[in-house]
Amino acid sequence: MMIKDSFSLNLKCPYCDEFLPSHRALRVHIGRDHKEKTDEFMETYFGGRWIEVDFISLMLRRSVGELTEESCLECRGCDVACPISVIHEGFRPFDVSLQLLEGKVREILSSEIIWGCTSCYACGQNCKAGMSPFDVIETLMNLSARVGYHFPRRYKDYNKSILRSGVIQRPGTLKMAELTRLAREDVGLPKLPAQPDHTRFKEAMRRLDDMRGLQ
Amino acid sequence: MKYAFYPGCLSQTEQFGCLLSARETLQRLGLELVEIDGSSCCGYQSYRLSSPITWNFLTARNMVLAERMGLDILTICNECNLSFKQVRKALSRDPELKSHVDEALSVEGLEYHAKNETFHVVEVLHDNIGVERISDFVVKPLENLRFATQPGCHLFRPKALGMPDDAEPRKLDALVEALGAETVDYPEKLDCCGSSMYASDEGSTLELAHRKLVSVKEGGLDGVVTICPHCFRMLDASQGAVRGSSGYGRLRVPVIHYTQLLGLAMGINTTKLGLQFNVSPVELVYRL
Repeated sequence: MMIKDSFSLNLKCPYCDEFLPSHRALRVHIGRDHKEKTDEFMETYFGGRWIEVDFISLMLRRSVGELTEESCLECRGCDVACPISVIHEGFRPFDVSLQLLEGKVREILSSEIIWGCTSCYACGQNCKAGMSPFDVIETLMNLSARVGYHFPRRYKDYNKSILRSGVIQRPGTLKMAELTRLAREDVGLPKLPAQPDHTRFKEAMRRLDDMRGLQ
Repeated sequence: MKYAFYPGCLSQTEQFGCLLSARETLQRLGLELVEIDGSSCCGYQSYRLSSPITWNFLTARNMVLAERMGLDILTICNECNLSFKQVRKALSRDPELKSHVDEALSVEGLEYHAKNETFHVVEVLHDNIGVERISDFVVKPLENLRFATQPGCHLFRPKALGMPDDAEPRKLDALVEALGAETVDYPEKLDCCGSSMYASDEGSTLELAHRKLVSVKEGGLDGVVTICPHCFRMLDASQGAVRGSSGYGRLRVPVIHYTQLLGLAMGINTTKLGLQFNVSPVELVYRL
Protein backbone atom coordinates (compact mmCIF):
# COMPACT_ATOMS: atom_id res chain seq x y z
CA MET A 1 0.00 0.00 0.00
CA MET A 2 1.43 3.38 -0.97
CA ILE A 3 0.33 5.48 1.91
CA LYS A 4 3.38 7.71 1.87
CA ASP A 5 2.57 8.63 -1.74
CA SER A 6 -0.72 10.07 -0.69
CA PHE A 7 1.13 13.12 0.57
CA SER A 8 3.01 13.75 -2.66
CA LEU A 9 -0.09 14.18 -4.84
CA ASN A 10 2.04 13.45 -7.85
CA LEU A 11 1.36 9.90 -8.89
CA LYS A 12 2.81 8.48 -12.07
CA CYS A 13 0.60 6.17 -14.06
CA PRO A 14 2.32 2.76 -14.28
CA TYR A 15 1.12 2.26 -17.88
CA CYS A 16 1.96 5.62 -19.48
CA ASP A 17 3.86 8.81 -18.65
CA GLU A 18 1.01 10.76 -17.20
CA PHE A 19 1.20 12.23 -13.67
CA LEU A 20 -1.97 12.42 -11.59
CA PRO A 21 -2.77 14.62 -8.58
CA SER A 22 -4.56 12.00 -6.44
CA HIS A 23 -5.36 8.34 -6.11
CA ARG A 24 -8.88 9.03 -7.19
CA ALA A 25 -7.65 10.80 -10.34
CA LEU A 26 -5.24 7.95 -11.01
CA ARG A 27 -8.03 5.43 -10.67
CA VAL A 28 -10.27 7.40 -13.03
CA HIS A 29 -7.40 7.70 -15.48
CA ILE A 30 -6.75 3.95 -15.44
CA GLY A 31 -10.44 3.20 -15.81
CA ARG A 32 -10.72 5.53 -18.79
CA ASP A 33 -7.42 5.20 -20.62
CA HIS A 34 -6.25 1.70 -19.68
CA LYS A 35 -9.54 -0.10 -19.23
CA GLU A 36 -8.04 -3.52 -19.91
CA LYS A 37 -5.56 -3.01 -17.06
CA THR A 38 -8.12 -2.02 -14.42
CA ASP A 39 -8.32 -5.35 -12.58
CA GLU A 40 -4.58 -5.84 -12.59
CA PHE A 41 -4.05 -2.28 -11.37
CA MET A 42 -6.51 -2.61 -8.50
CA GLU A 43 -5.04 -5.88 -7.39
CA THR A 44 -1.40 -4.87 -7.69
CA TYR A 45 -1.61 -1.45 -6.14
CA PHE A 46 -4.40 -1.57 -3.67
CA GLY A 47 -5.14 -5.23 -3.06
CA GLY A 48 -8.72 -4.49 -4.01
CA ARG A 49 -8.98 -1.86 -1.32
CA TRP A 50 -9.09 1.31 -3.37
CA ILE A 51 -11.85 2.87 -1.26
CA GLU A 52 -9.75 2.38 1.84
CA VAL A 53 -6.73 3.97 0.19
CA ASP A 54 -8.75 7.02 -0.78
CA PHE A 55 -10.01 7.22 2.75
CA ILE A 56 -6.52 6.99 4.18
CA SER A 57 -5.24 9.75 1.92
CA LEU A 58 -8.09 12.06 2.76
CA MET A 59 -8.22 11.43 6.49
CA LEU A 60 -4.49 11.64 7.00
CA ARG A 61 -4.16 14.83 5.03
CA ARG A 62 -7.08 16.28 6.94
CA SER A 63 -5.95 15.44 10.44
CA VAL A 64 -2.20 15.58 10.04
CA GLY A 65 -2.86 19.01 8.54
CA GLU A 66 -0.91 21.27 10.83
CA LEU A 67 1.41 18.59 12.15
CA THR A 68 4.70 19.01 10.29
CA GLU A 69 8.32 18.69 11.29
CA GLU A 70 8.48 22.47 11.55
CA SER A 71 5.30 22.99 13.56
CA CYS A 72 6.04 20.41 16.28
CA LEU A 73 8.35 22.01 18.83
CA GLU A 74 9.43 18.58 20.08
CA CYS A 75 8.87 19.74 23.65
CA ARG A 76 7.21 16.41 24.52
CA GLY A 77 4.56 18.31 26.45
CA CYS A 78 2.05 15.79 25.07
CA ASP A 79 3.95 12.87 26.63
CA VAL A 80 4.18 14.66 29.97
CA ALA A 81 0.43 15.28 30.06
CA CYS A 82 -0.58 11.83 28.80
CA PRO A 83 -1.71 9.63 31.72
CA ILE A 84 -1.24 6.50 29.59
CA SER A 85 2.43 7.25 28.97
CA VAL A 86 3.03 6.53 32.65
CA ILE A 87 1.40 3.13 32.79
CA HIS A 88 1.31 1.76 29.25
CA GLU A 89 4.69 0.70 28.01
CA GLY A 90 5.42 2.07 24.57
CA PHE A 91 2.53 4.50 24.27
CA ARG A 92 3.74 8.07 23.79
CA PRO A 93 1.76 10.63 21.75
CA PHE A 94 5.02 12.24 20.65
CA ASP A 95 6.43 8.95 19.38
CA VAL A 96 3.29 8.33 17.34
CA SER A 97 3.55 11.81 15.81
CA LEU A 98 7.23 11.31 15.09
CA GLN A 99 6.67 7.94 13.42
CA LEU A 100 3.93 9.49 11.33
CA LEU A 101 6.16 12.36 10.20
CA GLU A 102 8.74 9.76 9.20
CA GLY A 103 6.09 8.13 7.04
CA LYS A 104 5.94 4.95 9.10
CA VAL A 105 2.18 4.71 8.86
CA ARG A 106 2.19 1.00 8.23
CA GLU A 107 4.25 0.35 11.37
CA ILE A 108 1.88 2.39 13.51
CA LEU A 109 -1.21 0.73 12.10
CA SER A 110 0.09 -2.79 12.43
CA SER A 111 1.06 -2.38 16.08
CA GLU A 112 -1.71 -2.23 18.65
CA ILE A 113 -0.12 0.63 20.54
CA ILE A 114 -2.48 3.43 19.46
CA TRP A 115 -5.41 1.56 21.02
CA GLY A 116 -4.04 2.48 24.45
CA CYS A 117 -5.30 6.06 23.97
CA THR A 118 -8.27 6.95 26.20
CA SER A 119 -9.23 10.11 24.26
CA CYS A 120 -8.73 12.25 27.37
CA TYR A 121 -7.39 15.16 25.27
CA ALA A 122 -4.69 16.01 27.82
CA CYS A 123 -1.99 15.90 25.09
CA GLY A 124 -3.62 18.71 23.11
CA GLN A 125 -4.13 20.83 26.19
CA ASN A 126 -0.43 20.68 26.94
CA CYS A 127 0.84 21.18 23.37
CA LYS A 128 3.00 24.30 23.18
CA ALA A 129 2.36 24.53 19.43
CA GLY A 130 -1.41 24.38 19.95
CA MET A 131 -1.90 21.14 18.03
CA SER A 132 -3.91 18.08 18.97
CA PRO A 133 -1.92 14.84 18.86
CA PHE A 134 -5.17 13.11 19.87
CA ASP A 135 -6.88 13.98 16.59
CA VAL A 136 -4.02 12.32 14.73
CA ILE A 137 -4.19 9.23 16.94
CA GLU A 138 -7.97 9.01 16.52
CA THR A 139 -7.57 9.12 12.75
CA LEU A 140 -4.95 6.40 12.94
CA MET A 141 -7.37 4.27 15.00
CA ASN A 142 -9.97 4.80 12.27
CA LEU A 143 -7.49 3.75 9.63
CA SER A 144 -6.32 0.74 11.57
CA ALA A 145 -9.92 -0.43 11.98
CA ARG A 146 -10.92 0.38 8.43
CA VAL A 147 -7.98 -1.17 6.65
CA GLY A 148 -8.31 -4.22 8.83
CA TYR A 149 -5.12 -4.07 10.89
CA HIS A 150 -6.64 -3.98 14.33
CA PHE A 151 -9.97 -3.24 15.95
CA PRO A 152 -10.45 -4.52 19.53
CA ARG A 153 -13.04 -7.27 19.81
CA ARG A 154 -15.16 -5.44 22.38
CA TYR A 155 -15.61 -2.50 20.02
CA LYS A 156 -16.61 -4.90 17.24
CA ASP A 157 -19.21 -6.38 19.56
CA TYR A 158 -20.48 -2.90 20.45
CA ASN A 159 -20.87 -2.07 16.75
CA LYS A 160 -22.72 -5.31 16.04
CA SER A 161 -25.05 -4.74 18.94
CA ILE A 162 -25.84 -1.16 17.86
CA LEU A 163 -26.62 -2.40 14.36
CA ARG A 164 -28.93 -5.03 15.80
CA SER A 165 -30.78 -3.04 18.46
CA GLY A 166 -29.56 0.57 18.42
CA VAL A 167 -27.71 0.23 21.72
CA ILE A 168 -24.52 -1.37 23.02
CA GLN A 169 -26.54 -3.28 25.56
CA ARG A 170 -30.30 -3.34 25.87
CA PRO A 171 -31.34 -2.01 29.28
CA GLY A 172 -33.23 -4.70 31.13
CA THR A 173 -33.27 -5.86 34.71
CA LEU A 174 -31.08 -4.15 37.29
CA LYS A 175 -28.36 -6.46 38.54
CA MET A 176 -26.95 -5.98 42.00
CA ALA A 177 -23.62 -7.10 43.33
CA GLU A 178 -25.10 -10.04 45.20
CA LEU A 179 -26.83 -11.22 42.02
CA THR A 180 -30.35 -10.20 42.90
CA ARG A 181 -32.21 -8.75 39.96
CA LEU A 182 -34.79 -6.00 40.02
CA ALA A 183 -37.22 -4.93 37.33
CA ARG A 184 -37.13 -1.28 36.26
CA GLU A 185 -40.57 -0.63 37.73
CA ASP A 186 -39.46 -2.09 41.10
CA VAL A 187 -37.11 0.85 41.53
CA GLY A 188 -39.49 3.43 40.12
CA LEU A 189 -37.96 3.79 36.66
CA PRO A 190 -40.33 4.67 33.82
CA LYS A 191 -40.93 2.42 30.83
CA LEU A 192 -38.00 2.24 28.42
CA PRO A 193 -38.26 4.50 25.40
CA ALA A 194 -39.31 2.77 22.17
CA GLN A 195 -36.51 1.08 20.22
CA PRO A 196 -35.55 2.46 16.81
CA ASP A 197 -37.68 1.16 13.93
CA HIS A 198 -35.51 -1.83 13.15
CA THR A 199 -35.97 -2.05 9.37
CA ARG A 200 -35.45 1.62 8.66
CA PHE A 201 -32.61 1.99 11.16
CA LYS A 202 -30.78 -0.91 9.54
CA GLU A 203 -31.36 0.53 6.08
CA ALA A 204 -29.90 3.89 7.17
CA MET A 205 -26.87 2.11 8.63
CA ARG A 206 -26.45 0.15 5.38
CA ARG A 207 -26.48 3.36 3.36
CA LEU A 208 -23.80 4.81 5.62
CA ASP A 209 -21.69 1.74 4.95
CA ASP A 210 -21.90 2.50 1.23
CA MET A 211 -20.98 6.13 1.88
CA ARG A 212 -17.95 5.39 4.03
CA GLY A 213 -15.68 5.36 1.01
CA LEU A 214 -16.65 8.94 0.26
CA GLN A 215 -15.72 10.28 3.66
CA MET B 1 -37.81 23.20 32.68
CA LYS B 2 -38.53 20.27 30.42
CA TYR B 3 -35.74 18.27 28.77
CA ALA B 4 -35.39 15.26 26.50
CA PHE B 5 -33.48 12.96 28.84
CA TYR B 6 -30.54 11.06 27.35
CA PRO B 7 -28.85 9.08 30.15
CA GLY B 8 -26.44 7.12 27.93
CA CYS B 9 -25.76 3.37 27.86
CA LEU B 10 -23.71 2.92 30.98
CA SER B 11 -26.11 4.30 33.58
CA GLN B 12 -28.96 2.31 32.06
CA THR B 13 -27.23 -1.04 31.88
CA GLU B 14 -24.58 -1.10 34.62
CA GLN B 15 -24.24 1.96 36.81
CA PHE B 16 -27.81 2.17 38.06
CA GLY B 17 -26.97 4.44 40.98
CA CYS B 18 -26.13 7.23 38.51
CA LEU B 19 -29.45 6.87 36.70
CA LEU B 20 -31.72 6.47 39.72
CA SER B 21 -30.20 9.34 41.68
CA ALA B 22 -30.12 11.69 38.67
CA ARG B 23 -33.79 11.08 37.88
CA GLU B 24 -34.85 11.42 41.51
CA THR B 25 -32.92 14.60 42.33
CA LEU B 26 -33.41 16.42 39.02
CA GLN B 27 -37.15 15.92 39.19
CA ARG B 28 -37.28 17.15 42.77
CA LEU B 29 -35.34 20.22 41.64
CA GLY B 30 -38.24 20.92 39.32
CA LEU B 31 -37.03 19.50 36.00
CA GLU B 32 -39.30 17.44 33.79
CA LEU B 33 -37.49 14.61 32.04
CA VAL B 34 -38.95 13.00 28.91
CA GLU B 35 -37.58 9.79 27.36
CA ILE B 36 -36.62 9.96 23.68
CA ASP B 37 -38.56 7.32 21.77
CA GLY B 38 -36.53 5.63 19.04
CA SER B 39 -33.20 6.94 20.36
CA SER B 40 -30.02 4.88 20.05
CA CYS B 41 -26.49 4.77 21.42
CA CYS B 42 -24.44 7.90 20.56
CA GLY B 43 -21.70 5.79 18.97
CA TYR B 44 -18.80 7.52 20.74
CA GLN B 45 -17.46 4.30 22.25
CA SER B 46 -17.81 2.24 19.09
CA TYR B 47 -18.43 3.57 15.58
CA ARG B 48 -16.36 6.71 16.22
CA LEU B 49 -13.30 4.50 16.00
CA SER B 50 -14.22 2.47 12.93
CA SER B 51 -16.66 4.59 10.93
CA PRO B 52 -16.82 8.28 11.87
CA ILE B 53 -19.63 8.92 9.41
CA THR B 54 -21.82 6.35 11.19
CA TRP B 55 -20.96 7.91 14.57
CA ASN B 56 -21.97 11.34 13.25
CA PHE B 57 -25.25 9.87 12.03
CA LEU B 58 -26.06 8.12 15.34
CA THR B 59 -25.43 11.22 17.45
CA ALA B 60 -27.16 13.60 15.03
CA ARG B 61 -30.15 11.26 14.85
CA ASN B 62 -30.68 11.49 18.62
CA MET B 63 -30.51 15.28 18.45
CA VAL B 64 -33.05 15.29 15.63
CA LEU B 65 -35.44 13.02 17.54
CA ALA B 66 -35.34 15.42 20.51
CA GLU B 67 -35.72 18.39 18.18
CA ARG B 68 -38.88 16.80 16.80
CA MET B 69 -40.20 16.77 20.38
CA GLY B 70 -39.35 20.48 20.62
CA LEU B 71 -36.90 19.84 23.46
CA ASP B 72 -33.28 20.42 24.36
CA ILE B 73 -31.32 17.36 25.45
CA LEU B 74 -30.06 16.78 28.98
CA THR B 75 -27.44 14.06 29.35
CA ILE B 76 -25.78 12.74 32.49
CA CYS B 77 -22.83 11.19 30.63
CA ASN B 78 -19.62 13.10 29.87
CA GLU B 79 -18.99 11.06 26.73
CA CYS B 80 -22.48 11.49 25.27
CA ASN B 81 -22.11 15.21 25.96
CA LEU B 82 -18.77 15.30 24.15
CA SER B 83 -20.28 13.33 21.30
CA PHE B 84 -23.11 15.84 20.87
CA LYS B 85 -20.70 18.77 20.91
CA GLN B 86 -18.25 17.22 18.47
CA VAL B 87 -20.87 16.10 15.99
CA ARG B 88 -22.64 19.45 16.11
CA LYS B 89 -19.35 21.18 15.28
CA ALA B 90 -18.41 18.70 12.55
CA LEU B 91 -21.81 19.02 10.85
CA SER B 92 -21.75 22.80 10.97
CA ARG B 93 -18.32 22.90 9.37
CA ASP B 94 -18.58 20.15 6.80
CA PRO B 95 -21.56 20.43 4.42
CA GLU B 96 -20.51 17.25 2.62
CA LEU B 97 -20.62 15.26 5.86
CA LYS B 98 -23.98 16.82 6.69
CA SER B 99 -25.38 15.81 3.32
CA HIS B 100 -24.31 12.19 3.89
CA VAL B 101 -25.80 12.19 7.38
CA ASP B 102 -29.01 13.74 6.05
CA GLU B 103 -29.21 11.10 3.33
CA ALA B 104 -29.14 8.38 5.97
CA LEU B 105 -31.58 10.32 8.18
CA SER B 106 -34.00 10.63 5.26
CA VAL B 107 -34.64 6.87 5.44
CA GLU B 108 -36.65 7.65 8.58
CA GLY B 109 -37.99 10.92 7.22
CA LEU B 110 -35.60 12.98 9.38
CA GLU B 111 -33.27 15.90 8.69
CA TYR B 112 -30.63 17.60 10.83
CA HIS B 113 -31.26 21.30 11.54
CA ALA B 114 -29.24 21.94 14.74
CA LYS B 115 -32.17 23.79 16.24
CA ASN B 116 -32.05 22.34 19.75
CA GLU B 117 -29.30 22.52 22.36
CA THR B 118 -27.63 19.76 24.35
CA PHE B 119 -26.69 20.14 28.01
CA HIS B 120 -24.60 18.21 30.46
CA VAL B 121 -26.08 17.78 33.92
CA VAL B 122 -23.36 20.01 35.43
CA GLU B 123 -24.39 22.86 33.13
CA VAL B 124 -28.00 22.48 34.21
CA LEU B 125 -27.16 22.21 37.92
CA HIS B 126 -24.41 24.80 38.14
CA ASP B 127 -25.27 27.30 35.39
CA ASN B 128 -29.06 27.08 35.07
CA ILE B 129 -30.31 26.17 38.55
CA GLY B 130 -27.30 27.63 40.36
CA VAL B 131 -25.33 26.69 43.44
CA GLU B 132 -27.35 28.95 45.73
CA ARG B 133 -30.70 27.47 44.80
CA ILE B 134 -29.25 24.00 45.24
CA SER B 135 -28.17 24.86 48.80
CA ASP B 136 -31.79 25.90 49.44
CA PHE B 137 -32.81 22.29 48.86
CA VAL B 138 -30.36 20.94 51.46
CA VAL B 139 -32.04 19.58 54.57
CA LYS B 140 -29.15 17.46 55.87
CA PRO B 141 -25.92 19.44 55.36
CA LEU B 142 -22.94 17.16 54.76
CA GLU B 143 -20.77 18.72 57.40
CA ASN B 144 -17.37 17.37 58.39
CA LEU B 145 -16.98 15.45 55.13
CA ARG B 146 -13.96 16.01 52.89
CA PHE B 147 -14.15 14.76 49.32
CA ALA B 148 -11.94 14.45 46.30
CA THR B 149 -13.84 15.27 43.10
CA GLN B 150 -13.50 13.46 39.79
CA PRO B 151 -14.87 15.85 37.15
CA GLY B 152 -13.84 13.54 34.29
CA CYS B 153 -11.83 14.61 31.24
CA HIS B 154 -14.73 15.43 29.00
CA LEU B 155 -16.24 17.88 31.45
CA PHE B 156 -13.44 20.32 30.60
CA ARG B 157 -11.48 18.99 27.61
CA PRO B 158 -11.10 19.70 24.72
CA LYS B 159 -11.21 23.41 25.40
CA ALA B 160 -11.94 24.35 21.78
CA LEU B 161 -15.37 22.70 21.92
CA GLY B 162 -16.71 24.88 24.72
CA MET B 163 -17.03 22.16 27.33
CA PRO B 164 -19.12 22.61 30.51
CA ASP B 165 -16.16 23.66 32.68
CA ASP B 166 -12.80 25.45 32.37
CA ALA B 167 -9.31 23.98 32.12
CA GLU B 168 -9.09 24.11 35.91
CA PRO B 169 -12.55 22.69 36.62
CA ARG B 170 -14.28 23.94 39.76
CA LYS B 171 -17.99 23.50 39.03
CA LEU B 172 -18.31 20.02 40.51
CA ASP B 173 -16.39 21.23 43.58
CA ALA B 174 -18.76 24.19 43.94
CA LEU B 175 -21.75 21.85 43.68
CA VAL B 176 -20.32 19.56 46.37
CA GLU B 177 -19.55 22.54 48.61
CA ALA B 178 -23.15 23.74 48.18
CA LEU B 179 -24.15 20.64 50.17
CA GLY B 180 -21.96 21.60 53.12
CA ALA B 181 -19.03 19.28 52.41
CA GLU B 182 -15.45 20.29 51.78
CA THR B 183 -13.50 19.48 48.59
CA VAL B 184 -9.77 18.87 48.50
CA ASP B 185 -7.54 18.86 45.43
CA TYR B 186 -5.30 15.87 44.79
CA PRO B 187 -2.56 15.40 42.17
CA GLU B 188 -4.56 13.05 39.90
CA LYS B 189 -7.74 15.14 39.90
CA LEU B 190 -7.53 16.05 36.21
CA ASP B 191 -6.29 12.66 35.03
CA CYS B 192 -8.34 10.25 32.99
CA CYS B 193 -10.17 7.43 34.81
CA GLY B 194 -9.21 5.09 31.96
CA SER B 195 -12.73 4.05 31.05
CA SER B 196 -12.33 4.71 27.32
CA MET B 197 -9.57 2.13 27.19
CA TYR B 198 -11.66 -0.46 29.00
CA ALA B 199 -12.53 -2.20 25.75
CA SER B 200 -8.96 -2.48 24.50
CA ASP B 201 -6.69 -2.75 27.54
CA GLU B 202 -8.43 -3.54 30.80
CA GLY B 203 -5.21 -3.96 32.81
CA SER B 204 -3.87 -0.46 32.12
CA THR B 205 -7.30 0.98 32.72
CA LEU B 206 -7.43 -0.49 36.21
CA GLU B 207 -3.96 0.82 36.95
CA LEU B 208 -5.12 4.36 36.15
CA ALA B 209 -8.12 4.04 38.45
CA HIS B 210 -5.91 2.55 41.12
CA ARG B 211 -3.56 5.55 41.12
CA LYS B 212 -6.42 7.90 41.75
CA LEU B 213 -7.88 5.81 44.57
CA VAL B 214 -4.50 5.44 46.29
CA SER B 215 -4.04 9.20 46.18
CA VAL B 216 -7.45 9.75 47.78
CA LYS B 217 -6.78 7.14 50.43
CA GLU B 218 -3.38 8.55 51.30
CA GLY B 219 -4.89 12.02 51.47
CA GLY B 220 -7.15 10.74 54.25
CA LEU B 221 -10.29 11.92 52.46
CA ASP B 222 -13.79 10.61 53.05
CA GLY B 223 -14.30 9.54 49.45
CA VAL B 224 -14.49 10.49 45.78
CA VAL B 225 -17.43 12.26 44.14
CA THR B 226 -17.93 11.50 40.43
CA ILE B 227 -20.23 13.13 37.90
CA CYS B 228 -19.68 10.84 34.87
CA PRO B 229 -20.99 7.24 34.81
CA HIS B 230 -17.72 6.15 33.16
CA CYS B 231 -15.58 7.54 35.98
CA PHE B 232 -18.05 6.04 38.44
CA ARG B 233 -17.68 2.62 36.85
CA MET B 234 -13.90 2.74 37.00
CA LEU B 235 -13.64 4.02 40.56
CA ASP B 236 -16.60 2.28 42.16
CA ALA B 237 -17.49 -0.91 40.32
CA SER B 238 -13.93 -1.78 39.31
CA GLN B 239 -12.48 -1.05 42.72
CA GLY B 240 -12.58 -4.72 43.67
CA ALA B 241 -10.66 -5.68 40.52
CA VAL B 242 -8.09 -2.94 41.00
CA ARG B 243 -4.85 -4.46 42.19
CA GLY B 244 -2.21 -1.91 41.35
CA SER B 245 1.44 -1.54 42.14
CA SER B 246 0.96 0.34 45.42
CA GLY B 247 1.03 -2.69 47.71
CA TYR B 248 -2.38 -1.94 49.20
CA GLY B 249 -4.78 -4.82 49.34
CA ARG B 250 -8.40 -3.78 49.10
CA LEU B 251 -8.52 -0.02 48.98
CA ARG B 252 -12.04 0.47 50.35
CA VAL B 253 -12.42 4.08 49.21
CA PRO B 254 -16.08 5.22 49.18
CA VAL B 255 -17.12 6.43 45.73
CA ILE B 256 -20.37 8.32 45.40
CA HIS B 257 -21.98 9.86 42.35
CA TYR B 258 -22.78 13.57 42.66
CA THR B 259 -26.54 13.17 42.30
CA GLN B 260 -26.46 10.51 45.04
CA LEU B 261 -24.65 12.93 47.35
CA LEU B 262 -27.09 15.67 46.41
CA GLY B 263 -29.98 13.32 47.21
CA LEU B 264 -28.52 12.48 50.63
CA ALA B 265 -28.26 16.17 51.43
CA MET B 266 -31.85 16.64 50.23
CA GLY B 267 -32.90 13.94 52.69
CA ILE B 268 -33.89 11.39 50.06
CA ASN B 269 -34.02 7.73 51.01
CA THR B 270 -30.86 5.77 50.03
CA THR B 271 -32.78 3.18 48.00
CA LYS B 272 -34.28 5.85 45.79
CA LEU B 273 -30.75 7.09 45.12
CA GLY B 274 -29.61 3.61 44.10
CA LEU B 275 -26.94 3.53 46.81
CA GLN B 276 -27.58 -0.20 47.20
CA PHE B 277 -25.95 -0.61 43.77
CA ASN B 278 -22.64 1.00 44.75
CA VAL B 279 -19.87 -1.56 45.11
CA SER B 280 -17.46 0.58 47.14
CA PRO B 281 -18.14 1.01 50.90
CA VAL B 282 -20.33 4.06 50.35
CA GLU B 283 -22.14 3.49 53.67
CA LEU B 284 -19.05 5.00 55.29
CA VAL B 285 -20.24 8.30 53.83
CA TYR B 286 -23.91 8.27 54.69
CA ARG B 287 -23.64 6.71 58.11
CA LEU B 288 -21.29 9.40 59.29
